[in-house]
Amino acid sequence: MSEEINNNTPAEQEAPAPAPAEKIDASETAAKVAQLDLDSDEDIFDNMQFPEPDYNAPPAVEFHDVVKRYYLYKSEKSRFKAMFTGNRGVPQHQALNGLDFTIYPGESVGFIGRNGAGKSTILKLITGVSFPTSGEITVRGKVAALLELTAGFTQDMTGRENIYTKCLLLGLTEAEIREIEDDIIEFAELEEYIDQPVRTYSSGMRMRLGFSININIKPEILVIDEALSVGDARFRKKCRNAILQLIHSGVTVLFVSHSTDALTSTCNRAIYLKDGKVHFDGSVVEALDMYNADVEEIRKRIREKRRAKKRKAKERLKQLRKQQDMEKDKK
Amino acid sequence: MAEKGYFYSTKSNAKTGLGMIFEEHRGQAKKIMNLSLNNLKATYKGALLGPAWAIIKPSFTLFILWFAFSVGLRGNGTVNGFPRFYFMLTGYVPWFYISEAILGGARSVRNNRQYVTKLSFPMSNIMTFTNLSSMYIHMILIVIMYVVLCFGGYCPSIYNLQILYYLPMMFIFFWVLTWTTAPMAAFSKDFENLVSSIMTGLFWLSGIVYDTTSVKNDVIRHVFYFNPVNYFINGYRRTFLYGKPAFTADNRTETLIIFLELLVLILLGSFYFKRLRKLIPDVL
Repeated sequence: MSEEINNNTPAEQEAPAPAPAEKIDASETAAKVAQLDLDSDEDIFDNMQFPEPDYNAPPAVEFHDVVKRYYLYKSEKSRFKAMFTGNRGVPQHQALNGLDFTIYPGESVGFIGRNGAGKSTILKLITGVSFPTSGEITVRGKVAALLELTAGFTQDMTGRENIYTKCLLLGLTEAEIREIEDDIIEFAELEEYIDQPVRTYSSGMRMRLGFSININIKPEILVIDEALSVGDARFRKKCRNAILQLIHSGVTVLFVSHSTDALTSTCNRAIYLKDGKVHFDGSVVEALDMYNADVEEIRKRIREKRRAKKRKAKERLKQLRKQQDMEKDKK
Repeated sequence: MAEKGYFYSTKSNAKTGLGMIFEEHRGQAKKIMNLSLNNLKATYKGALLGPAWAIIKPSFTLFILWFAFSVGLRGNGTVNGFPRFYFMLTGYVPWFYISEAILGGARSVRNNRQYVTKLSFPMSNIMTFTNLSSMYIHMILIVIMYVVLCFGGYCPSIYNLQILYYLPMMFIFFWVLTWTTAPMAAFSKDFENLVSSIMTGLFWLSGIVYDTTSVKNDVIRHVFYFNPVNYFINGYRRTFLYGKPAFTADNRTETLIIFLELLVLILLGSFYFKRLRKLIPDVL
């Protein structure tokens, strides 16, 4: 993987660094030929063929009847009390309501659902940050989460020291870290800043470093939240390419997104979540159709409600005017 | 890459908190060592002298002590037949560690909250590496104390080897204490404040500036047995100052109490760790 990145670097440098807006236009026409890999999304996707998932292997991710409830403490006092009473009588929010699915190695699965459907909760459960209230979860393989990129950084330490710490936290050995250190630094494009304390970094630099670490640890399962945006347009494309390369190499991908475009280009399976349950599990197109139909329906309902409200308001206005007129007439 | 290392399942969960803690520690020794050194570096990073500050600060306090009791208040008498300075020195050195272990241990999870809420990191390891960091500093302070005591003519002695019992025992005792305090302090800020407000009181209830074993009042002297800090501080004095064995007839009750307390702490820690471990990522 690192070699491919090396090949990309000269192509980037040829591209004029300033005026990113111009570059996007250009990428659709002439620049296509010059920058084969980096600047055009379409041709990568066109050439892209999903690797065949291995359905015989032990599943990469297994969810069995997973329920997740969050406790909602009213105040610090109720929280303090809960430590001794064992959360008795604390109101709960049910995020996941008996979830069942199995993902095999090499699959790339998109999670669709409206806000609050439980997408982020699932990602947190897979990465092992949060725990299910009941049910069983099994994850086989090293997970790289592109969720909280800057998590685990110590502000006062240099970029290089942070690479070391973060990789340790992710469970790598020292030998493994030394092996990928240079790749990480090169991908993050931090250059001489790598030996400066992270507190002096801009937020973009921090994100780049975080992304670079996660992408370079050779994960077997990649968890991506769509809300992620790293650096400028050029770096975003580089990230996208790196992700696609990983998918191509047979990594299992779990992807959360609302964008039809991103889902159809990255995933070969989609799970539509509704009210903390699997509403549909199957092809991306069908899932998206269902999701969009539901969204449309909800929008319609909202529109109707709004119209009804307006109507009511108008009627009320009319009544008031009538009353006023009557009062005037009486006078 | 070894597949076994990257297997995660909620199925294999241990039944007790104690089991959970052991499971979280299995095969993590090297990582914990690295993180404890990192923690030390990170605390004092950005200062010219770095981690040296961790030793300079308590050394300065000890210097003031020496100045006050050996130069200023000369003739302030002796405790148990030993000059007050040496008596307090052997009390202060373990106290620095104990207060750091209690307070820093309780704060450890909250201070490293990103490890818990953003990464999949075994929570009990946080308590371990925090305590280890303080232990490194403590070991250096012991060396400094030892040199001072040697100049005073109280060392070396065969009883000094008893440190090999007291040091691990002290580490384990206050590490086990953090199984309860760290999750609780992470869960509720009030608990953290409670711990830090207890510390001043604990200092004066422990035999750092006076000898608890020679208190006149029988009841109070026996109540002091229940303060674990006393056991360790008096143990350090037995080791470095008095030249007395660790287990004698006159501290049998104290020894029994400390082991009982350790047992209670293990049970309590196991209970609270299990209860709070899975809640903390959601509430911290």
